[in-house]
Order: sequence, then structure tokens, then C-alpha cells
Amino acid sequence: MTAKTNTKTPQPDDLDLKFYQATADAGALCIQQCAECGQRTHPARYYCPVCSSEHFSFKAVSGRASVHSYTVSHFSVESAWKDKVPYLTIVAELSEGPRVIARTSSITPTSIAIGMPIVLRVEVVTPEFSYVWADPVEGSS
Amino acid sequence: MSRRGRANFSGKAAIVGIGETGYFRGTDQSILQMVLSASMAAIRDAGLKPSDIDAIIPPPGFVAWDEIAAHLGVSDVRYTSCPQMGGASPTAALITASMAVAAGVAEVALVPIGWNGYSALRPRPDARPNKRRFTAAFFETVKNYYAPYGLRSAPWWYSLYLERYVKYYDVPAEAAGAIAIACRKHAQLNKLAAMRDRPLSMEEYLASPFITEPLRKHDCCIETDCAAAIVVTTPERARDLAHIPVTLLGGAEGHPDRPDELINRSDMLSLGLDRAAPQAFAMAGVNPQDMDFLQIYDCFTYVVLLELEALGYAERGGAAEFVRNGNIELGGKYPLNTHGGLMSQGHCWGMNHIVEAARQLRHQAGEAQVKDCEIGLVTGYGDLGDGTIAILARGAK
Repeated sequence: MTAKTNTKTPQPDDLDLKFYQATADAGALCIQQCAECGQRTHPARYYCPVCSSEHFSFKAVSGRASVHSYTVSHFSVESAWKDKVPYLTIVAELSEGPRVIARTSSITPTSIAIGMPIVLRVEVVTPEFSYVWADPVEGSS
Repeated sequence: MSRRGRANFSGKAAIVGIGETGYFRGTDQSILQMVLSASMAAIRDAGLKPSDIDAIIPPPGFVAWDEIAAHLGVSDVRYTSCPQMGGASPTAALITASMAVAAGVAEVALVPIGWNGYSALRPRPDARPNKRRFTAAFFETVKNYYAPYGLRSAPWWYSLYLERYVKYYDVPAEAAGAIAIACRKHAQLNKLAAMRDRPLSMEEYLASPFITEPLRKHDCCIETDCAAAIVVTTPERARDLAHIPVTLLGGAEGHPDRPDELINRSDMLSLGLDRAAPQAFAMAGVNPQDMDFLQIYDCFTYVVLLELEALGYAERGGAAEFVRNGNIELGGKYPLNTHGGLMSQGHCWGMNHIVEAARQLRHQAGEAQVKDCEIGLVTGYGDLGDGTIAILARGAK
């Protein structure tokens, strides 16, 4: 299930735009991967932080992740969010390493815990922006 | 300690002038007017004239060095720079000014800052549009990755790591409350404090609503319109001026790896101050236990707890014990934010912390005076975790 999205989408450029375009094209979260050493980096960088290579591509990741941190927001001045409080925002650590922000409609402030396994999927909003959504792993919560 | 050798400007620069406006919840003064007013107050406080200034180092904001020079009548500027690290910038600017005068690039540096932190968000109906805007590189990260998720400003971004700090180390809300209450108590002694006459109890603190967990309303600093400034010069020049000099013994800045982004650091709780603090103590040749007071950048209470840990007053996750039982209140061992801080005096990007440190070390802090204090520290924290620290002492060293 996908909640109605009525927030303003960003207008990324540079590598941030390439990340969002790759993700929208694939319909899956695509993270920068170094062509030489395999390091995955997010947000994408022009030089690999490990080997300094400038050769890379955006590759789909598994979606397997865990909750690294989160916040439950009880207040917002933004029109797109103030009717959604309390809303939960997750720092998800991918099994491949990098961390991304994710929203959720299936995990609640009372069911979330640091370290909890989750699975990520994307909602393509425009060819240049997708949301990442988190769901609990079947049977884990 | 340092890979690059110890910095060698300890004792070679001093704060000789301080100035500040009030901390207003709404004002008719423009940002430029407030900055000029605080600057002129600092120059006069030092016993100097604008023509004595030859360096202007304004932290990033809304007013630039050239218009400050032109309005004040500073006719011969030899050096300027502008540290870009949000709330860590005033202390970085103090360090930069100290290096400039120690190196002989300039002799008398003005370090001013000011803004309309309250009025910018609450313009009066008849106000002309505010054309002065402030930006930073990490805003791109915010726009592209955080804001779409309802995380548009500082409390929301910082909560992404502060909630991990709270949950992972089981940090009690009362520890953050102790910070808010110490600042509020000290503000009662300060005529300029925006929260004077508004005391805060632990019960009120705990009952205040969450903004975004773990941050309650009373964990957040207050928005004010204000400006503050200092004048920095050499120990030689300081000898003839109006007040006992406040000497920079140690100063350093530090930044988390990946400073433009918050969540992909190997340790999401790392602060720039983790790296800066040991450098500054080594440069000064003193220990955290030598400090008579702590003026800690207090945008949010939980950030103060992490800063206290970075400074070495507690292990990671252990600051709750340090802030108990009045240890950080006047009369305790480490009085913290004796002016009320950003939490309760007002938000002047921490320049007000530097002004207060100088006032304490001159022994001019009135009811909030830390008796016979000789040495203390100031920290800055900005953007996505940049950290700065200055260790200051009374008199020439």
C-alpha cells in the first residue's frame, strides 16, 4: 500500500539527480557502486571514498535493511506534514552498507526498535524523485 | 597528539573588546543596524576607534565584511575571511582572528555576527521583504534527502542521531532537562536574557510536548533577533587597552567525516568536537578538569550532552551523571552557560558564549560571576556536526 503523496518533491542536480533517475528507471533503490573496488556510497560522490576511482554505476540493492535510528515527529509547520503527525522517519542501514532515510505506514512508533530488520521498497513519484518506504520483515514484528 | 604538530599561537592573541545588543523576540532594527551596534560597542569597550580595526572576520550570515567596514568607517582592511560552519563559526572566527594577529597579518580584528532569528520567521504585516538570505552547502543534502520526509529544519535532522544516542545509551530525559534548567536558572541573573523572569522546573520540562523525539519543546533553543561582537588583538597591543585581556590559550576546529551529510558516517554520533577538543587542550597545555566554567553551544540539550562527552567530562553515553546534582549550575564544579545560553539568553550563534566567557574572565559577570575564575572554555557546534573550541584565560600568558 502506498500512502497519498502530496509533498513538494525536490529538484536534485548533479549526482543526486543521477541517483534519483536510476532509481526511478529501475523502480528499485539504486545505490552508487565503485567500478573498481565495489564500494557502495550514498549519497553518490564523484570520487570513491575508498579507492578514489571516478568510475561507477548505480546498482539496485536487495532492499534488506535494519533500523539504525529513527525519530517520531509530533509537530510540523509544513502543510504536507502537519496533518500526518505523529509520523515516523527511519534511518535504514542497507545490508549492503549505506544508510538511507525511509518513511513507513506499516511500522508504528510503538513497534519500532533500533536493530529491527526491515525491507525497503521505492515509490516512484516523478522520473527524478522516489520515496523509500520501509516495512517490517514478515514475522519479525 | 596531532599528526601535524602542535599549533603555535597559544598566548599570542587576546579578546580585548566585547559588545552585544539585547536578545529580542521581535525588533524594528535591521540586521545591519544590530551588527553595527554590537561592533561599535565592542570597539569602544576596548578603548579603540574604528580606524584601529584592520581585520574583519564575520561568521557567515546576513551581513558581509565590506558593508561593515564602510558603515563603521574602517578605512584600511588588511585581512578578511568567513568561516562556513553555522553555529561553530563564531569560535572558528575567534581562532582565525587569533591566528591573523599572531601571524602579523593584521593587528586588531573585529569579529561580529547578528541576525533576525525571530523576526525572519514572523515578519510583521507591514515589513518589507527580507532580502538577506543565508545558505550552506549541506542545504543541498537537506533539500534532496531529508526535507521530502518531513525533516526540513535542525530539530528534525538532528533527531535522526539524537534518538539513537538516547535509545542506544539509555540516556534519561532528566539529563537533557538538567541542561535546560541550568541555562534557565542562569538566565534569571542576566538582564539581557530573553527568558529572564520565566523560571523552569523539571516537572515543566518533562511535561513540555515533543517536537520530534527525543526533542521536547524545552530541549530547543529560542529564536531571537540579536548581534554580538568581539575585538581581538596581540598581547602587546592589549597592554594599553581598557580591560584586562582575555587570552586564547588553545583553539581548534574539527569536522565529522562526510561533513555535508549526517547519516552515512561510520559513527553517526561523532561530532567535530571529538577531534577538536584534544587538539585545543594540548595546545593550551591544560586539562578539562582545570576549567572554571563551560560555555557550551546549546542549540539542543542532547547536543550539549554529546559535547560534554567529546570534551572528556564523561565516556560516550555517560554525561547524564556529569550534569546531575547541580554540578553544571553556578555554585557547582562546572557552571555551564552562565549567561543562559542559546536556550535562555538568546540565539546569537554562540558569539554570546564568547562574550560571556570574556566577561567572566574579566570578573564583570555581576550576579552570575564565577568567583575568582581564571580559565574557561567555549564551544561551537554547527551545520551537520562541525565543532570548535576555544580555551580562554584571564590576563596575559
